[in-house]
Amino acid sequence: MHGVSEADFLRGISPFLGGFYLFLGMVNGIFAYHLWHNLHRTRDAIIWIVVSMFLVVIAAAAMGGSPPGLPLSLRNFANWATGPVIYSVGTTALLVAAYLLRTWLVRPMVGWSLLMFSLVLLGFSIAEPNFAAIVTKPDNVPIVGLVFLLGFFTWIATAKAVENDRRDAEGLPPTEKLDDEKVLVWPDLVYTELICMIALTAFLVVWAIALQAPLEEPASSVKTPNPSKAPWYFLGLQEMLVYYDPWMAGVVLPSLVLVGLAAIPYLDFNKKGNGYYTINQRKFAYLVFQFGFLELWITLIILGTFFRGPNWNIFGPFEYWDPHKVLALNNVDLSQYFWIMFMGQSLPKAPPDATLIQQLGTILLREWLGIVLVLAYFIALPPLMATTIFRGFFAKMGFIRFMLMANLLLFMASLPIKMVLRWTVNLKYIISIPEFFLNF
Amino acid sequence: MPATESTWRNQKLLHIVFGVSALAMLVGTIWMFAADHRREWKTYQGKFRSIEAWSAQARLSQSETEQYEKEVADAHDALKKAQQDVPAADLVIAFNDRVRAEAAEKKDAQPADVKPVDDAYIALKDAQPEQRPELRKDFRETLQKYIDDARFVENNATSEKKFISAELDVARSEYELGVGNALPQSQLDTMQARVTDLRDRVAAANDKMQDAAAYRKDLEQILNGMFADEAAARKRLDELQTQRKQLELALYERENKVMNEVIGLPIIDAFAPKKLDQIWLPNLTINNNFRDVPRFDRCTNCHQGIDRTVAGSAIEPAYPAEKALQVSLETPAERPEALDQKPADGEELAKFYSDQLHAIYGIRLAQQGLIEENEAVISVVRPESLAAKAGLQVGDTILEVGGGKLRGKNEAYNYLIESAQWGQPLALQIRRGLPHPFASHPRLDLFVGSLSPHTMAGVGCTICHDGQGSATSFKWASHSPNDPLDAERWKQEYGWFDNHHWIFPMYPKRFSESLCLKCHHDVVELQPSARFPEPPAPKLVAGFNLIKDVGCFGCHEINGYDGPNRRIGPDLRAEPNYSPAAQGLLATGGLNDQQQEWAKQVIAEPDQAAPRHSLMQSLNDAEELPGDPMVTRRLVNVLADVETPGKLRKVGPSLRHVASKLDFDFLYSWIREPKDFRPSTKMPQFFGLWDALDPHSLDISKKFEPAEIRGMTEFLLSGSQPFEYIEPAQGAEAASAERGKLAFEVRCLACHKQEAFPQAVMNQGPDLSRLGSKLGADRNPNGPKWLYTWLKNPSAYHPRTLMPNTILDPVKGVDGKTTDPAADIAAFLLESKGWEPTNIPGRDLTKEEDAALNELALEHLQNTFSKRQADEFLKTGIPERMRADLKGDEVELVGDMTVEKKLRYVGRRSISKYGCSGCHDIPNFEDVKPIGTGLADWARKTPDKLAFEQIVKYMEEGHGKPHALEYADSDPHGVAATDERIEEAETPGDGHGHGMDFLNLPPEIGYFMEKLFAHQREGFIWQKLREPRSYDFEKTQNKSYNERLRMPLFTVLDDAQRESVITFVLGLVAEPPASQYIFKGDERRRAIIAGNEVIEKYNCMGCHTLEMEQWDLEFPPETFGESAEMVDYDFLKPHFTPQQIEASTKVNDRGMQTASIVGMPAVNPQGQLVRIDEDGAPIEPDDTETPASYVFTPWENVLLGGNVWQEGLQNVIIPESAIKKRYEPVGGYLARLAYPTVVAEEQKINPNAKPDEAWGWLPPPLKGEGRKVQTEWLHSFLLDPHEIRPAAVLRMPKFNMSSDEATKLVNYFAAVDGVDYPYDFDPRTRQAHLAAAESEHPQRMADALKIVTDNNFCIKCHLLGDFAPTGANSAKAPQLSEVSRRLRPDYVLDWVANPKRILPYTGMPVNIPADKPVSQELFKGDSLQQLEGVVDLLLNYGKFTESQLSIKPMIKSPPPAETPQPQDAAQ
Repeated sequence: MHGVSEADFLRGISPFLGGFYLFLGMVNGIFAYHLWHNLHRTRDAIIWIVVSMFLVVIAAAAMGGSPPGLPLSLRNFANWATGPVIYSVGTTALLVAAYLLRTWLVRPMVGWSLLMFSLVLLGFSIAEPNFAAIVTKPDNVPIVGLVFLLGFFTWIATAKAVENDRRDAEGLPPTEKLDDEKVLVWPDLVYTELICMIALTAFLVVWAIALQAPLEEPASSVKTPNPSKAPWYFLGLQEMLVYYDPWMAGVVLPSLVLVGLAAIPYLDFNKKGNGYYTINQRKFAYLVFQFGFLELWITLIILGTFFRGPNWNIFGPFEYWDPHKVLALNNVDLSQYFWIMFMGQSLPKAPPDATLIQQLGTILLREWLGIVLVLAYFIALPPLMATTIFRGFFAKMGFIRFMLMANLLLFMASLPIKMVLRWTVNLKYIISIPEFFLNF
Repeated sequence: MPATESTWRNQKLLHIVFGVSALAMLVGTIWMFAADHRREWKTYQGKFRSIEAWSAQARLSQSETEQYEKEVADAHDALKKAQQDVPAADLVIAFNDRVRAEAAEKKDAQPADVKPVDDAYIALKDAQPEQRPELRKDFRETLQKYIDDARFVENNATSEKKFISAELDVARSEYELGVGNALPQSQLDTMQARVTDLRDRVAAANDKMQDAAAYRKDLEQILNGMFADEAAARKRLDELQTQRKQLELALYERENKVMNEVIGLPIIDAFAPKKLDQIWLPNLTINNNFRDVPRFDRCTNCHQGIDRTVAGSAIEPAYPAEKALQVSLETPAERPEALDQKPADGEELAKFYSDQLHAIYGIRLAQQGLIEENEAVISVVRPESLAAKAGLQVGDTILEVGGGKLRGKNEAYNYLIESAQWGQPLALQIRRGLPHPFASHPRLDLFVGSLSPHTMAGVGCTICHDGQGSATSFKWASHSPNDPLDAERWKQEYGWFDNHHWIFPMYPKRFSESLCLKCHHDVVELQPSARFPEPPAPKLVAGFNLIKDVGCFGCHEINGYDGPNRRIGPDLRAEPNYSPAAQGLLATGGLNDQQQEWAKQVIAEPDQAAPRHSLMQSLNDAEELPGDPMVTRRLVNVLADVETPGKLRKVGPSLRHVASKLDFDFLYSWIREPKDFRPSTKMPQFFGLWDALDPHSLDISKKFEPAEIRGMTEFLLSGSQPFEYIEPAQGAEAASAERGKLAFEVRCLACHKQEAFPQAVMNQGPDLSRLGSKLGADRNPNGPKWLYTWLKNPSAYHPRTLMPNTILDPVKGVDGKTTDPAADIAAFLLESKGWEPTNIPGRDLTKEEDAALNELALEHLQNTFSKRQADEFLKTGIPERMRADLKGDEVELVGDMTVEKKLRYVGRRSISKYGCSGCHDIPNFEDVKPIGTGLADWARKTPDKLAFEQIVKYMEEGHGKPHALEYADSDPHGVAATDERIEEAETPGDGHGHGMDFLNLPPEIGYFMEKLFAHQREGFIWQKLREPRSYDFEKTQNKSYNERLRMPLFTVLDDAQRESVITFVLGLVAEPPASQYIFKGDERRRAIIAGNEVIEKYNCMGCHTLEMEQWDLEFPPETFGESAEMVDYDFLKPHFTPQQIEASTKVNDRGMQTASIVGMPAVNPQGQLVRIDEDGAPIEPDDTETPASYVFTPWENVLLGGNVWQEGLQNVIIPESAIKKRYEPVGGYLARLAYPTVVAEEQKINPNAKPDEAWGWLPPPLKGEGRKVQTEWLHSFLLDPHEIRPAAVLRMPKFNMSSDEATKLVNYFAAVDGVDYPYDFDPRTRQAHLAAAESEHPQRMADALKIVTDNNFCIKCHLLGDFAPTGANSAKAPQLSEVSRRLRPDYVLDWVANPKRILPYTGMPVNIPADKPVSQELFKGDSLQQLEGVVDLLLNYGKFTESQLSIKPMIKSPPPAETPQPQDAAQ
């Protein structure tokens, strides 16, 4: 961080961190009291009172100007682990683990522990200037909040689903059915809305005073900001631009996302799980959606917000965003792999006076492998899927619905496939027809 | 399902939630209001209001001091006295006479009754003084009755006239209607008669009214005369009382507590009085990339006092910025006895102390502090008190007494009264002025002030300062700290941060002048002028001059034009290489005679387009080009026109004939390290800058650099063109260094320094010390010959040199011997030695040197050829057949390979690489463009385009000299100690990001260091100038030798100079505002600016004084007394308006009068200021105790306290204490420097010589030059100077100046003096004028000539035609026959009438005194007629002498007239 000294930084961040830890300590104290007094779980209460005391101690340290931070090794590990491959594979693995361990994860104690752990981890990380510079940017603060909100809602939905699955296994109706009564407009609806209105207004007022709108430089056509970022909710899309041609990433894939979302009710043949939370009754739908949403949307937003730095390079959370960092990006098209490296000859090239047909022929010749692969992916795979793992689906959905679903799924899968290919073999495009601005 | 009473949620809980959120909403809302109310600018506005109120209060308190009371008492006394006066009897008689006369005029004459008047007057006269006021009143009333009667009559007459006029209007309109209605003529006649009658009556009534009014006015006038004294005294008293009343009123308005409380309440205060001000500048737009938007400056919301001036002045700041002062306060010798009656505690005690403070020291402390509540602020200073003597002023805040810090007002009492050591002075540390944002602008004469050229409403703030004008808080306004200490303080006090998002951050104080360049593209206008004697932008101008002087523009063009006509900033570019190209063409030897002639013209005057065009045309048309066609083609192309060409000459000397001047050893040593021979050289150092190199790279440098230097030397010497020396004069005495020294001193010191003259200061030319080691015959056989030639005619060697031809012709002395000053000066210069070139390689290359040369040549060759080819060419040379394909320096290698060729090749490549041709004229480099980055918009270049490389690491590791860490332990001027808060917050070396603690560096180093570490422009350029190659640190490993940085080190620049250069470059934003804001000036101003450029260029002020010394005076009334009356011609008498005279008697708020005096203080024969004591006796130089005074000769009439002191005639004795500010004269350095020498030399011959006369032998001041000389004459004189004054010890040199430049100078002088130019008509040469004068006085001219030729008058000293007076040259005066061509008529008249008024030191006497005409035998008439006669003669001298000369007798036999032949006539 040029311009701000370490001492300045710590002086600025200390009061906030002190308050933050003190708040956590108090919350945990109350939590421990609740455990002991209301739930009579003395052993748990002792654990949390210890945690609370620990938090008060680090709060004191933070207020004294030396907030605890993460050891260098852990920071280096974090920087390493946020490299693209580890990051995407790791998040997928975490998702799978969360799915498998869901019954354990939804236990309140576990949930609370995870929340506390992540909050303390955040606190420790913020004591590092580079990390703090990114998460405390007025633009990014709400995103950090959103990450926690998302975690909370995912957790609570999973908890409800797990509970319903348990009840289902015991032959009981889902919890939502228990309160299936009509409610009154007043006070149940309108009063609640009024309260929400007031509370939200108060929140916005306080937010507006406390966290002023960030003002940046006047826009210039000759000097774009570096990194140049889309609004946070589009960062997932922007991330796709790295791997796909603009027309794909900017037009086709977003349209397909919308089409796919709209198509879900028509593709869904599972009658179960309407009006209540469940996982077991709709595993396929659940997994596909969570993968698409959490992995391909949320984690890419996080990647784009927090890890994409100057020159669109990936930076670790504790790394300084140095605009001078240079990464080699020598990406190669599949046709080049085939013709130059495999066949040992130059790319087929149409003679200068070639007709359109000749040109097209040359292009087809040059890109034949990619075209074949893509066609195989989209044309040959669905029947294969229908006859193997998705046999049951095919039977229930019929040809058209199945093909639609299969293609949507394949499109969805193409993104991680492309990403992996890029990272592993520097593959640029599978089909590359720059003559017509057509790349895939 | 039916509705039930049960609800979905618990109502009680909802109520609680609702309650809590409503409460949160309330808190949020209140918070919002509070946050709004606490916005910074509101706080500042509130504070400023109280400061203003306090200041008004302080002035009020001050007005209650004894002086004011005394003035009031005096005024009362004066009034009382006036009221006891008896009006003069003659006025009473006049009154009575007037009354009687009026009565007598009336027809029904009743004698006027004036008895009451007489009675009342007698009563008054006989009464005792104490009874008189009453009786005066009675007397006055008695008189008043007459006036009232008169007014009654007047009023009656007026209304009568009104009525008749109305009737007249009616009658006239009836008549006109009648005419319109075609009434019968008879009726019309009647009507007309009525109109006529009425008109007469109106006239009569009018007369009556006028008479009555005149009568009334006469009476009133007499009455007023009688009571004038009383009226004046009453007026003075009223003034004093009104002043106080106004203050009270102002205070009441500001202090009206209840109202202020109400409208100061939160939220309500938004309506009034705290509101958001903004200056809207629709035309001074700000560039937001996509469009220019109007500028809004809201700076004044906090900087409320920025435009406030002290009452009665348009430029003096009302609230000067704070500064710390040390004051020594005397204490009474004994403990005052009153202190023994100290009351007990409580309010009594406070009052006691307050009174004692006033009694002892004459000060009172304010109830409340200004900035902080409990400060000890002085609110009253009694005049003449101890405090007043110590210089304390109202508003000063006492910070420390005797080293002890005050923590409140009460401690002041303690320190000043209780613990004072009586009889010992107390050391007070005070703060004067206000901190920002309350302070006023320091230069209200230039900025913000209503009379300044940059008014607040007209230009706002951010156009000059930059910053975010729309912001209303400190941190968002993008203020920029001046040093790290400021930054730290701002961070703590205002939460300041470096907002890199705002692309126009404010310029810190140290660069506050930079942005003047936005509008002032010529820069010269920012020099001090008559209107702004205080330099408007000294640092910026210094930077500008440095860039011109050291020649930064040789590599870094600063192009002031965007396209041919759009000016975007200062323009600093080298002139086109026309002259060198012509020299190159001439040197080919293939030009025909006509072409040679053109080429010579181009060389001498490249500004003239015609010969250049002709030469180019003729060569373009030639079938075969002379010389090497490729080279010649390039040279011809250089001659082509350039769109808006640069104007600056290259700063280095021409190297075209360098072999005729320098030898190998010197040149080698010079290129390697110029400062070794001449420490003050402007030539930068290119080699040996190794601080940033790692060992391996250093080895490469050590290997290649000698090869490069050697190559350059070889290339320059072998490529040097032949040169013809000038042979020394035959028959002259042998050269004498002693004579040379004197000749040098009175000429050359105007531009040069030399070790024999440590007092010399000018650096227009190089320091000429140790020249013997450079050009001495023992080392360099050509040296002396070259030096002699150079001295005789510098342009022969270097056609574009600024060194003038000083016309060093052999002179014949009184002893009859002829000496050659050029040879003398050369001898003197060559005498100075003391330097030897060291480490010069032998002429033959060693094996290692040869290897290095080959390697370097190979590296260069590989840029053009493959490695294999390069290897081969290096061995065998480049084959001749490839010559045509070679574009660059490789042409040197064509043909068989020799070592010389390799050296020449490497040398030529190196000269290209280092851009030597940016400053020097080098053959073969005529068409080379500057090699550096253009700087025209450097100040807006984004820092990411600057290669900072590993500079942070470099600095951290403490490389280079002087490196940063040297300062790490030094005390930063004790600042840390004065600011405890910062010291507490920042323990040294607390790991400031980079292990560099900027706070502990000296502020100017710390500032730039911090900027450097933060990768900002300011830091980059600072380090670039300081250690240009340091950006190569850790980079050379991966660069080839020729890719390394090339910028040289300017060893001549010190830290302050570098900062000036930075100030200039940071102003290069290339953002000119709308054209109406660009400085243009009127025609005269433009002429002055253009002339100034020429003056600077040729260093005219090295010899001539352009502006005399000016002293600003501030003195108590009656310091100077009255000046003596002078008898002189009316037209010479000074003219001041009554307003000017009144203004000069006005006292300011310190009770002082002010004045500015222009002229020359007297100096002794040693050239030091004459200091005298009260009795006029000189004071010893080491005596600093006695109060000194100076004798000052005004060169302009001056008003001192209402009295005129006349220019040249009346010396003013100025006490030192009255001098507020001295402005040094502009120019005339040589005159002052050589004055003692010239006096001493003269006194050797003539011990009685008056020292003052020596000024007349030195270069004259050019004050009034425009008024003095005719433009045409001056123009030709500048281009071809000739001798004017035989007495002068040196002649005006001949400059290498274009006619255009001479014109600019001529216009400059005329514009400065406000006279006509370029043409002026001399009315004294008008035939009608002469004829008229001649008719009144036959033989007038002849008579005038009698005066002129009389032995007692003009020809006693002046040359006239072929006549020269006998005697020493120093007594001879200029040729009179020249006057008519040289001087302007008004000037001649003034000059002859009284020369001292124009040139106070002149030896010329007043020949025709105003009161004493010269002998009537010579010229019949009074003084003025004689004077005019002589002047007319002088101005028509040519015509007159022509009329005296008959040509006819010279023609012996006139040729026969060409009459037509008779036959022709017949036909």
